[in-house]
Amino acid sequence: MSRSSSRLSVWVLSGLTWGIILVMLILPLVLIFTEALRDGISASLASFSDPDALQAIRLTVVMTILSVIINTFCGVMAAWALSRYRFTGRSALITLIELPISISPVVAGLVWLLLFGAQGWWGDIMLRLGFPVAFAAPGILLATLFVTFPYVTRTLLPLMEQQGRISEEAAMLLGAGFWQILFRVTLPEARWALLSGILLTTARAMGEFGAVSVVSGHIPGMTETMPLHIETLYNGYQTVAAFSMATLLALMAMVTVAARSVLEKQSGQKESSSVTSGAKAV
Amino acid sequence: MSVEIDTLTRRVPGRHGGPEQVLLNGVSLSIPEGAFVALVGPSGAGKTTLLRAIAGLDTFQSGHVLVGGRALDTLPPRERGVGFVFQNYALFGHMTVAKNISFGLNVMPRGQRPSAEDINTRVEELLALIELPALGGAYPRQISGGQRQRVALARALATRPSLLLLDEPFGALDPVVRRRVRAWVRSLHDKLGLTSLLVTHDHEEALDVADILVVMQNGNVVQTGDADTLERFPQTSFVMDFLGETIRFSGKCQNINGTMTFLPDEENILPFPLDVPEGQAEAILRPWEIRLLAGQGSAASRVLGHRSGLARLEVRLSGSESGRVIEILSARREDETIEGAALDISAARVFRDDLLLKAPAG
Amino acid sequence: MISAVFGRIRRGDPLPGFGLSFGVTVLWVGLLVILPLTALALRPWHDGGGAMLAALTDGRTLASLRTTFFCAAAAALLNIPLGVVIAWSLARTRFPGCRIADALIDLPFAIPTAVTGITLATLYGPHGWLGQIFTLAGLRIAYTKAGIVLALMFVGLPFIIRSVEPVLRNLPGDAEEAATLLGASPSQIVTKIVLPPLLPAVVTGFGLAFARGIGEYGSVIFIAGNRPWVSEIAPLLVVVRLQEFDYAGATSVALILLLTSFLCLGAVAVLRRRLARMTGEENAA
Repeated sequence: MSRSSSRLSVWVLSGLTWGIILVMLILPLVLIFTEALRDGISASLASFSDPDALQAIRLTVVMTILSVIINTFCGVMAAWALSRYRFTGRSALITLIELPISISPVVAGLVWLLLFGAQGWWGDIMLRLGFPVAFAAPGILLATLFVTFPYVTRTLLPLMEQQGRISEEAAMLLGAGFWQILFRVTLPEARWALLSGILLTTARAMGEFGAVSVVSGHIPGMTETMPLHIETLYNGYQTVAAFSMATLLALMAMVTVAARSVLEKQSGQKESSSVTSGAKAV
Repeated sequence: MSVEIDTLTRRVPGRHGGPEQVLLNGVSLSIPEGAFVALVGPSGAGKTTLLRAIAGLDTFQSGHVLVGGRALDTLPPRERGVGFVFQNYALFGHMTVAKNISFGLNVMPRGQRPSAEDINTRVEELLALIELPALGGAYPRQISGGQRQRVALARALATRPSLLLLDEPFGALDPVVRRRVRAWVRSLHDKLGLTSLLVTHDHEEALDVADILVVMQNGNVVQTGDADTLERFPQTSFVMDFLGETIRFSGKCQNINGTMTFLPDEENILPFPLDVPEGQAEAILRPWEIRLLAGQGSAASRVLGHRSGLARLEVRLSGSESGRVIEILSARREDETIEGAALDISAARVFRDDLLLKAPAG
Repeated sequence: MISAVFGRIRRGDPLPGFGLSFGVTVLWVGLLVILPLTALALRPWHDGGGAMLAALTDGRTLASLRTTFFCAAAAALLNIPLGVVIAWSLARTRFPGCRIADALIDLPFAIPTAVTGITLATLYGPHGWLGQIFTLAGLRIAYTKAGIVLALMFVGLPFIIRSVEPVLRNLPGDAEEAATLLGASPSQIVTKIVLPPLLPAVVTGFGLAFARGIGEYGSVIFIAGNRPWVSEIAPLLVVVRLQEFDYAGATSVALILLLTSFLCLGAVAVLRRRLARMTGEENAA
């Protein structure tokens, strides 16, 4: 194959690639921003002063923070248990942790209604206790927890497996207890993966639509999160407001993707340097 | 701190459903305070397993480990007074050298933890001790292997342990650095009055640095003793093989004219008196312990080269072409080219069924 | 008693924290995964097997399942050539802007599905930028099955790319060069050298994209039109049944979706292993 023809094929290939990316990914992104700014930036900004929009943002932020805290804490515990010890039932636990990723968001919402809905197992009891779960914030939290369940463990586990437990053993012999080992040695050494997992959890928690839609009851100003509010606005032909809120979420997604690509590079460098610092001395 | 190990046994389930593996087979060992002990043996002998058991890193099925007279399992790690240096140092990559060294002090419970100034002073002291006073702010990945090794030592010493455990600590260093670092470790041991336990697969390193060698094989301690004892009275042929080059001669012990004598199977090797029961035996000795006696046989030697001031000689044991050829070392110039010689192997340790029968006196 | 159970699972590891971390993990998995999925598995039988059978043989249910499976498969298939082209560029060439392209690929993973949904519906709607072009050509995308396929292509594309790309990256370039030197034609190189190791990756990507497509909801419902019997997807039917308080019907459809996606991911795992072994043997021979 001659040099010029291979150069030509590179051009054709990259042209095709950018063509696909342009139509499939960039065009939709551009559309979000242009639709949001169709009536000018002030109209777009004004849509956020609507009380229902503010409540949606508030609810989303609270739900996201709670989900990230709970799933990060438990996810770190799981990554520790699964990577630092070998025990019976370990692979079953890993499978169970991975499971929620392959479950339809609608089903992820439905399961909570089966437990806490009007006809659910414990729906009546919770209502009588004055603590409604379905069509209320606790239900939204449960649905969000379910869909963001595996991300922290998934990103931490491979790295922690690869690093092995020698650092933890060294810290233990120097007198560190469990929390000291975890916070001073294990998590700092896996910080890029941890951050990446937290980012994924945050993005998914803020943007979850299907699961939350099923459990929330869609009450504007009460149980609507940002994605649900987008649906309400869109179906009410408030296009500018819908796309303004969509812009917020899209920006959040873009920041996540960019940060993760930077993190990946960071952790790649860290990894290679820690490998050289470990085995190949001199 | 003294260490007493009493019939320690560790078994692990076999991989892929295979039979159970015995990593330590009832090991007993007594290490006096202040000794520098080397655990030596081929890989898989159980050295590292034993070291990790003493540190409390691994569990065992039966037996006892007493450190300073106290049962180990009753003590939390920080009260064991054990410093451990890992094979690849296990330095914390995200901490500076100074933070690595002070880690053991920083994680002490609030009541026992020294003040920040005291910790700083201690770190300075240790940096001076390891002769790296300027490197406190560096990260492990920025310094050389030899330097990392010393930082790992300083980290282990920061909490003033009286027992220092070293797991193949010099394995990753190049030969020149290795020799220097181990001499320095030995001087540190003497200066600080430590009890040290070193795992190595390198017998020369062990002979160089340790007072007492513990030779291990297949999860058992084969022999314990100082370098001289192991050299002169190796309990098994394995110990003799492990500690250096050997040359073997098979033969049998017989009563000849009222004296028990070792009769070699090969020609041109002189019998020598040996006071042991009759039967098959094997004489094993170092290449430099064989002497050539001119005019007493038909073996021939020629010079191959020189090593450490000794001549390397190739010796053909019989006149015929098919005879065995061995390499020996000799300090005597007149050995260099001899035709018609016989070999004196009376310096040999003689083994039967791999166990020592008799070693030459003196 | 609990410590006795833990003790049996793992006897006396000196590294602290096993009891705590294991306990937290089991509690977490138990409450958030096992409990709800148990409810899902038990609920359809609550009203008897007959009710479930009736719910599943209902014509509208069958139509929605057919739509879902057909569209998910079509989208995953159409994504294969697009995904392979992009993966090839990313893995094999340093084209202008390849780092940005690499980051953009993951966008569909991160963009909320509702945002995707309204965006695609607007873009391909009758008055949208691309919708107008298709209308001129006499084609309707929005509110038809074609719209569903399009939305599923958007969310599924990264799965194909991210499955294929590492394989292409690890494929030694010198194998192709060697084949060229041995006189192989470009088409022979592709079919004999490049495709065999690529196949498991493509199958994996297809399976992942298909499984995701079956369950997808937010990005589809805005563009689908949601006409019962025609462009109603199964996840939407779950929601409709729930709104009708028909829990048995909703759960039956949900269970079908769940089992299909598990089966699909299980099959991907098995197929991948088998194909990897086959190509491994080929290489060895």
